[in-house]
Amino acid sequence: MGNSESKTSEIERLLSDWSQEPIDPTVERQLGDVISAPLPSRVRATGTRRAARFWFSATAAAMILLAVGVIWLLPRPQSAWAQVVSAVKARPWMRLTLQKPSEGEPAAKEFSEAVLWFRGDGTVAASQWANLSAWLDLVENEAWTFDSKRGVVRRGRNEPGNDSQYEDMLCLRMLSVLLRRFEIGDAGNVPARLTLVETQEDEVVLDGQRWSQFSFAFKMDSSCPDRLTLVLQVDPKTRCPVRMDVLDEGGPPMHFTIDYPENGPDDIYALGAPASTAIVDTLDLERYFEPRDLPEPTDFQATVLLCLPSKPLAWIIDATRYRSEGGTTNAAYADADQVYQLANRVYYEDYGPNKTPAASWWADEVAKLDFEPPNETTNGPHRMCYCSYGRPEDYDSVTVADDSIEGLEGMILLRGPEMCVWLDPQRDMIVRRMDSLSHEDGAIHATQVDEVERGPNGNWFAIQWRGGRVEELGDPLKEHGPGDVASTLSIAVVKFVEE
Amino acid sequence: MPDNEEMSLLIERVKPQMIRTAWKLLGHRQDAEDALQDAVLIVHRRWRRIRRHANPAAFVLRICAQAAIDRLRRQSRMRATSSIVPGDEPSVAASGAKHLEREEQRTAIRQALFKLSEKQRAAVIMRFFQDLPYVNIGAALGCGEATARKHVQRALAKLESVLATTIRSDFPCHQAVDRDRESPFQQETS
Repeated sequence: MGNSESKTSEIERLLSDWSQEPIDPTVERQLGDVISAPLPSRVRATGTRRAARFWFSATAAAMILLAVGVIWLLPRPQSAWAQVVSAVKARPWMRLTLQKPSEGEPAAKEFSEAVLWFRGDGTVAASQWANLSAWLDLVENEAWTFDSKRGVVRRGRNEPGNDSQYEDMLCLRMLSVLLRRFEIGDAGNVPARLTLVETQEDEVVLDGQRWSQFSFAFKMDSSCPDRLTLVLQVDPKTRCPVRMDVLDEGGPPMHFTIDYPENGPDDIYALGAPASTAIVDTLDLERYFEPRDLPEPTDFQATVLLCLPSKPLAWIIDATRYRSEGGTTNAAYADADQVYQLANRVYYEDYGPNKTPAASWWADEVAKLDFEPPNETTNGPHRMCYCSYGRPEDYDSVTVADDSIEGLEGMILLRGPEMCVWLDPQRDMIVRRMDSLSHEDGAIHATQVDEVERGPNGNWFAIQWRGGRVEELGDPLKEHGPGDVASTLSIAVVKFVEE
Repeated sequence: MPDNEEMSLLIERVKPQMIRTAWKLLGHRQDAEDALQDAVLIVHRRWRRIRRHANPAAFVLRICAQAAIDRLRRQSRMRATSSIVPGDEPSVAASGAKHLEREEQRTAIRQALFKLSEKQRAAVIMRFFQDLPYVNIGAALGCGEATARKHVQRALAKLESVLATTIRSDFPCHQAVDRDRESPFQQETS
């Protein structure tokens, strides 16, 4: 009980310290300005939010044409609209091109060319707007996006968000979310958040020709005051829409012309991404950075001997004893003078009948030494394979590679600008090596786990690992690194305590 | 007093707590701005309901907490959850590794918040980032003071259990390297 209370106190302390830390006055002032700003400017505060409206409007408008479910939603013009849907589905591709606003018409500050594509069979949607392109596989639920300014192709999941479960959500926030999502291509899920509130079918005469006109008024959700109306003019002969107007109560209207080309973009590269563009596979990356549940702790005792890689077990520098019970691990360091005397015995080959002292011999000898009082610690053979390597600030800076280095063949390498991590796909993705740039001394420190052993509860224990400096991320860990700093070798003798 | 004026006065009163909530939880100026905008807009839209509430200030702060959490959820999906954003966190340059370690912990806490129930999450945010007394937390959550206290206690216990494998095990590799560097042998050979 007491233990539990002290743990809770630790969290409370962390939270309190965090909360009490002063905020930079500049940031505080800027955030205060946001709160105090008059309401209209809050609503129209950022370009991204206006752009979000655009994306929402365009995407929702186009997706509706192919969503079969929409047919069910239409009360009156169901049969007429069903014909339109059938006609569109019979075409290989539908393409919507944003038109420049007419003279004097309210318009967004900057016009950006935008084109949307939808494959007739409903399996693919794509878009190209300014420097952003998206290609969505609506069957596999994958999204490929390309940002020409950043020169990166990103593959991600086209997943539904869970934002809609919050009734407090604002229309504005949803628009912003949709924009961001659409960057990773979540257009396929947009209709799910829409409510069709009004439909209308008319016949209009334009340029001396009769057109069927369908109007659909949507609301984002029940809390959004603004309506979004899509007006589609349909050729009565082909039953295919040829023009679409997006009328947004909160923004300027947009006009699209629609045509039906034989071919459309088969992948993101057809939308302008050069074939040589680096791919950031967030679909793959995300799983590497998800917090992982560690196996239940295993009770163990271990002796870790710190040696020189050139003379393993022939000269030890330090010895540490670990005892772990019920998830709490204590470490105790051996008396340095006694370790030195023990090392001398080995130097003069005074270690009994064995010709070469094995790790277990060392462990037995070390057990006879005096140790400092134990301290609670987590640094031990049980944690070496479970390094926390954090999450990247931006997945664009991280790549998955298959660079093989000695002793780490077949590992998955996550390479970032200041860090490399090798994960072992054969052993629960444990960390087998981590290189990281230290901002403290500017050196790159590497730790490589060469041998591992699995504990009774499935945990992986490091049995042998090396630490030292390297010149560049991923360089082989040599006996001496930059600055002639020697590497070290740690050998762990682990005994599991059976229950 | 006109509605708008009354609302503005209330928001001004809780502004420091709102700023602290958004900034501490998000650690990114643009996201914090968006969260605060969202919160203010919700307050504006729901003002009639809020003003009838037993404790309007606490209700507004709960809305702010929810807005920040929503933004954090999106942030953690779309970007890194780390709050270390160049230019946003003035203390980054100042303290190097220690700061990184602290940020790791805070990132872990941010993630762990999603493991809590909605009320537990709101309660712990209101308690620690908004410094609200339990009676006000209870008012905002629609429960009594004792229940609010229980929400906070359970939230802390849950956070502790979720973080048990994260906070105490941070950067063992780094620790190993640091220890290596401190070893007498390396001092001799450096």
